[in-house]
Order: sequence, then C-alpha cells, then structure tokens
Amino acid sequence: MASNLADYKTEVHNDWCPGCGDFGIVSAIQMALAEMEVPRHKAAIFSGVGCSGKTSHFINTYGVHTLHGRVLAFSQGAKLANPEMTIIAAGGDGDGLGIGAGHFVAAGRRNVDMTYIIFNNGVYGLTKGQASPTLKLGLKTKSLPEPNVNQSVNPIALAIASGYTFVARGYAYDVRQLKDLIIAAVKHRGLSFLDVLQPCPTYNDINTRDWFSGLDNIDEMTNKPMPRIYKLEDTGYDPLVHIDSPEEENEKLTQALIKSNEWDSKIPTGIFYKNEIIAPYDERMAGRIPNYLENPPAYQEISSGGKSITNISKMLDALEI
Amino acid sequence: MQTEDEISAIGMIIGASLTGTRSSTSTSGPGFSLMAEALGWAGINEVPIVVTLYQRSGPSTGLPTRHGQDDLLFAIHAGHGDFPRIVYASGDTEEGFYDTAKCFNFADVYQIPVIHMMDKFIASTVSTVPRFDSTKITIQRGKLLEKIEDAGYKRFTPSPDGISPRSRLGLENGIFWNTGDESDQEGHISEDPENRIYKMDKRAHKLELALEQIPKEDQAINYGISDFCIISWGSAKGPILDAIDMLKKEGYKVGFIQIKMLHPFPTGYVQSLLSGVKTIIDIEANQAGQLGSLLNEHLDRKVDYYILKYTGRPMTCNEVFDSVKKIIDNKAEKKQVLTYGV
Repeated sequence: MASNLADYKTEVHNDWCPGCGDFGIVSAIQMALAEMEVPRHKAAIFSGVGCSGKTSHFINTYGVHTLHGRVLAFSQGAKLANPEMTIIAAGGDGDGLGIGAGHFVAAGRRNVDMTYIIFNNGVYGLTKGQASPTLKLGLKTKSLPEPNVNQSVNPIALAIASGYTFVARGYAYDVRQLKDLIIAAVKHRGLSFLDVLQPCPTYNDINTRDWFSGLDNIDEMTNKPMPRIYKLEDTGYDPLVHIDSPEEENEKLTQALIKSNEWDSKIPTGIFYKNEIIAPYDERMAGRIPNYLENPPAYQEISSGGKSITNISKMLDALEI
Repeated sequence: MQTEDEISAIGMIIGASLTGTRSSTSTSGPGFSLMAEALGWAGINEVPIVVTLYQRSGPSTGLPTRHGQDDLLFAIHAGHGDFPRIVYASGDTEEGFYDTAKCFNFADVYQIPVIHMMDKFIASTVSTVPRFDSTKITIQRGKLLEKIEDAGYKRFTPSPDGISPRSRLGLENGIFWNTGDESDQEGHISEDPENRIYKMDKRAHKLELALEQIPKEDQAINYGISDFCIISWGSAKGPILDAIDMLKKEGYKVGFIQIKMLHPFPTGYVQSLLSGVKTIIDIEANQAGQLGSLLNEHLDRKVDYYILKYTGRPMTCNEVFDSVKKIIDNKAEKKQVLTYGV
C-alpha cells in the first residue's frame, strides 16, 4: 500500500512556466517516493541551480538546493555520512554537464548508491535560453542570435563511459514511465543516472512536445504523426549485465552506446544499461571500515559528557620517542 | 575520502555536516580559492564546517613547495556577500592539535564555517612535543538535536541568542530545506525584505557572540607586554620567542602578543593589551603586512614597524633578533624585509 502522495508535496508557490516539463518530473519523484513508501525524513532531494534547482522546495522531504554544478558533491557527502538516506540529486543539463561535468565523471568512478536526474532541455532556461551542453550543433533556438556553434554532449554515453551502473532515459510528459524509471533507479544498488527529456516551452522552440510527438513527421501511409520517442523495452532490448565476464559487459556497454546515439527520427527511452556486479561505494568502504554500514558517521557517538570518547593512544604511541 | 577537486571537497563536507557528522577538509591557497563560493553557501545555511588552510607562498602557484602567511586577508574575506566565519590560527604543532578540537567546537556552537589557518612551516616541521592529552579536549556540539518530538520544527526559528536548534538529515520531525538563496525560517526561498534583515542580522550576530563567549586566552596569547611589543600570528611565533630570549640576554625587553582569533578580530582585548605599549612591531611572512593592516583597521592606532619575510624560506630567530634590535636602537626603516636562506 503506497503512502499518501499528498504527503510528499509542499505548499511552496511554483513559478515554473505553464507547460514546463519540470512539473512532470516533480510529480514522478513524488509518486515514486510515495509508492516506495520512503519515510519523508529518510529521503533528501538535492538540487543544483537553475529552474530545476527549485525541485527540492516542492518535495516534502529534506531538501537541499545547492550551488550551480555542485549538486553531486553535496549529495554524495550526505549519502556517505548517512547511508540510510534515500538521496536523489536533480539538476539541469547545463548544471550537470557544463559547470558540473567534472563531478559528473568523478561520481561515476565512485558508484555511490544514489540517483541523479538531469532535466535535459538543451537550453539555460532560467537565464533566458542560452545554448546548453546538450543542444545539437547548428540548432538555433529562440534566444540564439546565431545557430549553436558547439557539438552537443551525449549524457547517456558520458554516464556509461564514466562508470555509472544504471543509465536510463525518461520523458517528462510520460510521468507513468518516468515514475517507474525513478523507482528502478532508486532501488538500484549503485549510482543511477536518469536523463529526462524535458521540453522547455519558453526557450527551446525546436525540441518541443510536438516535435517529440512527431507532429512534423507524418506517416504518408497512415497520415498520422510518427512519434520520435519510443521505449527500449518494447523492442526486446535487454540492458542488464547478467554475468561477470568481459564479453558480456562489452556487449551491454556497446549496445547502450549505440542506442544512445539515436536521435532525430527515433529517440529511445527506458533503461540503457544496468550492472549490479560492480560494487557500490559503500561496500568498498565497508571493506576498509568493517562496521561502516552498521555505525555510519552520522550515527557515531563522539563524546560523552563533553569529553572525547575516541581513543587515539595507539596513534600517539607510534609517534612517541 | 578523496575528492576530484577542492570544490567537491567542500561540497561533500557540507553535505556530510547536514547529517550531523563533524566534517572537515584541508587545502592550501589555490584549493581554498576554489572553495570560496561554497563557503558562502555554508555561511548562509548556517552549516558547521572546518576548513584547514595550510598556507604556502602565493599568488597563484607562487612558491608551491615553500612557506608563507599570505592568505590571512583572503581567509577573512573569501566569498561574496556578507556572512560570518571564524578564522583561527595555530602557532605550532602542539597548538594545532588542541586548536583543531576548538575549531570544531566553534563550528558546532555557532553553526558557522571555521577556517583553521596553518602554514607550510608548521606542516613541514618535525618537532618533539609533549604527548597530546586528549582528556584536555572538550567536545561541544552546540544546539545539534538528537530528537524532535513535535511537528512544526523550523530550521531557522528565532532564538534569544540568534542560534537555532539544528536538525540533521534523517531525523524524524526535523525536515528542513536549505538553499543558496535567502530563505525563510523553514529554509524556502524568500526575498521578503523584513525576513532578509532578520536572517542577515541573525547570522552576523554570531560574530559578536563568539567574541563574548570564546575565552580571551584562546583569542590572543600574551607573552608579556613592554614598551616595544611584537604582534604576530601563526608559525612566526617560534623564531619570535627565540629572538626575544636572545634580546633579553643583551638587556632588551620586548613584549609579544600572538593573535589566534583573526576574525572576528578581538579588537577590545588587543586594544587593552596594547594600551601601555609605545611601539608596535608587526612580524609576519607576507609582503603586505596583512596582520598589520588588520590592526590598523581595527585599532585606534597604527603599527609602527613591519618586519616581513616573503622569500618562502622560514623565518629565523637571528634575523628577527637583528631587525628588532635595529628598531629599539632607532636605526630601522619602517619596513624591514628578511632575506635569510638560499
């Protein structure tokens, strides 16, 4: 029995533009938390800066609205100190793949057990629609004086190359699928990445909801639009690394990279890659500190009656002369 | 925990601190430059963190393997906007041990970022010191909450001393929000003018409280007052104390005040110590006389002489002895630059 969805909503006024894809993502996060029955105080939403940065204020769990590009740093620190928390980091594509790209890559190497959602719309929506790292070369969205002069980064491929062990894509207007993907991402043991296509109705006048729905792409035979978005699972695609072998891993990584390059006429959503054989960071940490998970830093007693209870005498003995 | 860069390092310790875990990172000048933005985030959200700033010689990469004390004013001013922080400096290895515990207490009690200043000379010195006694250390967690019984908790609720009870991620009934924007009592974005004044003043008040509550002997160490009095900070302490002994043997009496709390500046206490002093001599390892400029800013009088070293080489007692003697003998320029060492 799911918790009450309303419990996960705040009263905070929302100033996103009408029709913004962000609404769908926030709803999907709230629905996922309710369905998983995560106690509100055991979840924390971290967000970056931008329109998507306000996400944490709309969800009635702990909420930490961090700095531009730094959401992964703050959120990983919290998860490492208190591994019991369900941590979801959220931010825009400019936040995560522009200013935060270094942290994006480094996070993949660690594989901390949390979820990172990128709200991907190809523009810096909060600052009047400049081209962001995922806008395709040569596109001229509404605010640009000239077509985009930079190549776009491929978030799915970058996540796979960086070591993320769960890589998926959702679509902000398919809230049901997105909610299921978020649940799968949160339940995944390791760092899960979710690239969410989130049309910006105000500044991205090319990759619009209608464009994703294929309204400009009419099938001559049926006279119906051919949607660009499709689901990998409908094609029999299997993202899971089943066995611990280089051949299996190569096959799954390669097919995911190939799929990640699809765009324009066919855009896949769903889980691209999933590997639970690679140990999450907390297990690696527990290899060094055996009671790390039973007695994590957030719950460790450090003093009694104002006095330290940490015994450093061995350390001092080693230095004694 | 090894991070990819210093921005991540400070971000991670802030995240960890939000769970109630005591968290710290250490860096030198270039890394601290990268931390400036997040330092402000910790300030506006009242997150206790300790950043140990081990100084070498700047600017930029400067003399990267050598000593310096030229990050003092940067530590005090790093970050944009007005927010409180404590800047605290240790003079040697032994002080470093006990001061670390104090810095964590300051951070927890005032819910504030603390910058613990060390330098290359301390860090690279092998010295014999009395065995550290951890029973001398007290641990103060301030208003960190273990339990919240009632609903209705607000992270930034007003309190008589301006410091609000602090929840932590994971605590039942303790949900709060944080943001780099100005925020209301729950932590949601607010641009309300009255709230802005409340929050800015609430945060700023911590500096007054720290000056009131932190014992004077932890703010500055008085090694004796005389007509000629040295003021200094950090590792310059060692050569100064040796030089004072040497001067004493030649019949020269020189006072010395080591300032440990550099921000908020203990103006009243330092002013009272210096009230009978005729000549103030500032000694430090930087080119601008940064501590001297702090004194000039805060006191109703000016530093009389500067003895500065910025070659990256450690100060020696002989050169301090020579230059102080010159001042007492009235043969010195206002500023002397020390050069010993190849």
